Amino acid sequence: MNDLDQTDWLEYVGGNDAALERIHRRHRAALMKYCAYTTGSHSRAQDVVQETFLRLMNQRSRLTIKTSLADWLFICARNLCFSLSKREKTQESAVERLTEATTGLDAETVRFIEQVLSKLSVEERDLILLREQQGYSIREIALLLSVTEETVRVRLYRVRKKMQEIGRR
Amino acid sequence: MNTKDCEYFEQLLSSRLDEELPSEQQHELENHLAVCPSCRDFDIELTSQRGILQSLPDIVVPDGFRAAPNTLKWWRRRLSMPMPVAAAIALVAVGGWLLALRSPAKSNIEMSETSIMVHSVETVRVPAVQAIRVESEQDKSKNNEEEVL
Repeated sequence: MNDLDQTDWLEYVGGNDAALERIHRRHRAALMKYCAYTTGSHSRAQDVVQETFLRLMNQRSRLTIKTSLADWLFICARNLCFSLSKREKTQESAVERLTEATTGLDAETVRFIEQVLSKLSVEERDLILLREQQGYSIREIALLLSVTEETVRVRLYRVRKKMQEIGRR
Repeated sequence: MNTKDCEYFEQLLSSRLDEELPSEQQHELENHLAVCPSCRDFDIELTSQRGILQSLPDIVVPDGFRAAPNTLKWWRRRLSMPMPVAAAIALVAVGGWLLALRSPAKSNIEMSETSIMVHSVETVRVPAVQAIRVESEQDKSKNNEEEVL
């Protein structure tokens, strides 16, 4: 855990609610970005990030973060995104929702989001965003998904190939 | 160059993008790219995809977006306390409520009996002590008069 997170977390556990707001300000942008592109919706990303912090608040007195608070928050938010997508199963509306999440963009990016990214499944989008947006290494993704590194390499190749095929249509 | 061969080299290109390609395969890949325009295109598109994905804009965080917003429902706010504490409070509250419901008439009687007992102690003791004291003072004065006489 980085020093700022550790200091703020200990302060929050000690009863200082303002410390939680500092943690929130530090991490919310990255979480919002991942959640918005994964769920395809700005408002849903907001709900997921809020729920993530509620879960952190519920863990106030008993959470022992061994590695990184950022990782804990990210994994929690990611799980919530998947729960949401399993409940909804509305792939059809993903295009509209992704566009809603990304207003004010240049034409090429809008085209990429609408015609390529939104055509991927949630799992495929998650994988490519973990690698390209969040910068996770192959090894880190393998640990996160509980699969082998070779499986991650093969899956990444397939997603990249699929994106190229969709892009050519 | 058949399709199967290209698929193999596309996988190598994907691995190279992730900086996971062993050096021996790097040489093999370069030799193939030199003679395969299809795989060269694949490589260019991979790099282009990565560029777009990495430059996807940040999502605007709305004003007033906080960890525990004021608009949060009260029961969600309550959940922010540790679960054992919440469970203990709930247990005490329910226990107290059940005790209060158990036999309200009996408890009233007990209270009134207690107050009667208190009154009876006061009414009995005080006059008794006073009476004894009065008697003893009267006796003393009588005794004194007798002594004087």
